[in-house]
Amino acid sequence: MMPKEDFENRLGKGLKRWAEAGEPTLDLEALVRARAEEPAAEVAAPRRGWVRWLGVAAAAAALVIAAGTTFPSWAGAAAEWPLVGPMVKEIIMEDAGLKWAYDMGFIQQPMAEVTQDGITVRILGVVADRARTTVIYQVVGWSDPKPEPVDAKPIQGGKWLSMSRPVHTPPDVFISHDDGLASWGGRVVETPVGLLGTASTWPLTSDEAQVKVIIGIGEKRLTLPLTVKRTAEASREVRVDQSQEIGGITIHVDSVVYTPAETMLRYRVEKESLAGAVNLQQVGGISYLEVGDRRVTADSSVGASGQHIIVFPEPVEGEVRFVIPGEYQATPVTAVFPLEVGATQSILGAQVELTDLNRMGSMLGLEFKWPWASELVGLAGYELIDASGQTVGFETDGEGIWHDAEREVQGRRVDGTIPEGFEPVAVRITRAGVAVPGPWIFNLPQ
Amino acid sequence: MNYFTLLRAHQGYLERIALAMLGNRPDAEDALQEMALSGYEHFDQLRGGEHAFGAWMRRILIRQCRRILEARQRTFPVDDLVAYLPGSVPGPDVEAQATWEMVARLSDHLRPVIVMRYLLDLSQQEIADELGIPLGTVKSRLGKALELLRQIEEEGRREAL
Repeated sequence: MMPKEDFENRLGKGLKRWAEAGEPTLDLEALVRARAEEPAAEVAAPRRGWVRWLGVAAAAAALVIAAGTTFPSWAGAAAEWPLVGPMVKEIIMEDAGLKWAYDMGFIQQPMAEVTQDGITVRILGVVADRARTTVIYQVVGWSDPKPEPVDAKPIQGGKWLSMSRPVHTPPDVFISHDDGLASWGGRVVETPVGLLGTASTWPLTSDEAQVKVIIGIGEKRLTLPLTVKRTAEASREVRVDQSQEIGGITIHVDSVVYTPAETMLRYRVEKESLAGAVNLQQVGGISYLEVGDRRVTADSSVGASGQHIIVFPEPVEGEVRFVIPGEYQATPVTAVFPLEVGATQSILGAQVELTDLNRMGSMLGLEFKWPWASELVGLAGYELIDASGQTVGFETDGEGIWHDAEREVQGRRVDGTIPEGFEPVAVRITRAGVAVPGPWIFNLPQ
Repeated sequence: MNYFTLLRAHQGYLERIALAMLGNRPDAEDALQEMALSGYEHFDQLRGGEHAFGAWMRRILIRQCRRILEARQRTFPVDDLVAYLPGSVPGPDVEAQATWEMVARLSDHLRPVIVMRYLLDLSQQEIADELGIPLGTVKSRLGKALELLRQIEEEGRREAL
């Protein structure tokens, strides 16, 4: 092994040469001009969370459907349209979960297609499992992208169309089946063979369902009906239907899905939502499966509106218990901090200090810290106050957490935008997270 | 002094920094978009003329990277030992390429401190300030990351034999 100094020297030089070799790949000017001209209200909120969720869910999938006219393998699509296959594959490869489904041969091609007024929409692939239904689609014949970035909008999924090509308004995609009409956008990119994208919705509630994919392009609505079958030979879902209430929080486990690769649980938490970041270690740790004397910890989880899906990275059998060590819930508080570094307030018995303050134009970043050993586990409900006492909500667009174990302190950082024309002199915190010790324990049926 | 002319001149390097900080292209593209927009909106606040532009944009970019990293941290607990290798990104020579491939295997906790220390030449205190983490955490992460990088290099050497 090389001496330390030499290793670090080579590391720095290698990284610098690698970075300096970078060439621009994005059309940042077009993107900036588009967004700078666009009214803020029209900018779609990022949905990156769903992108991650899609990856998690797809990774958990051991089920795949065949819909409409199926092809034996992805190679069929590539053979049918030589340029499409590799480009779709590129989208798939960017998502670990879809890549896994692809590698396992779980993505099949329904090849549903509809043409209207010269615009053709194709459904190139469908992945359905007990967590969600995802379609991979292509739009061709749409009026060619025009270099009019002023009219452009961000695409679904919080990302932008082709970084190296003109920005274009994305289609609206809805997926309808027996569980209603809903969709979440995934990746959307413009390519020489048209627009390629993914969209997802809730899982099928039966083994076979009529699904409609509705693609909206401008005023046009193109509908593709599909018969989607869910095959279940690779996994099984077992109802659990157990509830437990501790400290005012009721947790209900709906079901467990056993797959050859993973174990997935669906559960609901009935509590007052905080809408703020919490370090799970402070409320007892991350949920786990207890299999005999062994613990299997989750590698990912997603949750929204009290609904949760948690994925454990291995199959389990025998006597298995699902353990949630601790939880938290929101409680109303009032704590006003002058916008001065060092301002301190007591919240739920914890001394909270405003430790950092960053202002750049209308962007404001605040950082708070308080002792780790505390009942207080999170902050939320920020309001800005001006010199006249007028109050506005502080729309935060990012929150980070840190924990210094050596000093036994923790922190939260929030960033957001100050409304135009408002000059804050203080920030008020109106909600706080309170730890609720568990554990909630559920015996899982096989 | 045109903003977009300056941006284009620095863009390739900034793209690599974003990728190195965040470890995957979609997040890097998000950070770059936000950086470019923020720079555009506050270009009149740039002090020091075009010579200061690169460093100014780097600071904005790092702030955007930090926000993405923090949001990611909130969403998923990250295991420091989990390797995540983004797509191959060519370097100008074999050694530079190999260096990036090693660094790319570090987790979200470790990779940014290595990038900021050895690519951007920031001090440990500056890294702590930029990432909003204690100095002690920066030191421990740097130590752990260097240890892992040496292991990765050693494994690569053994496999090559």
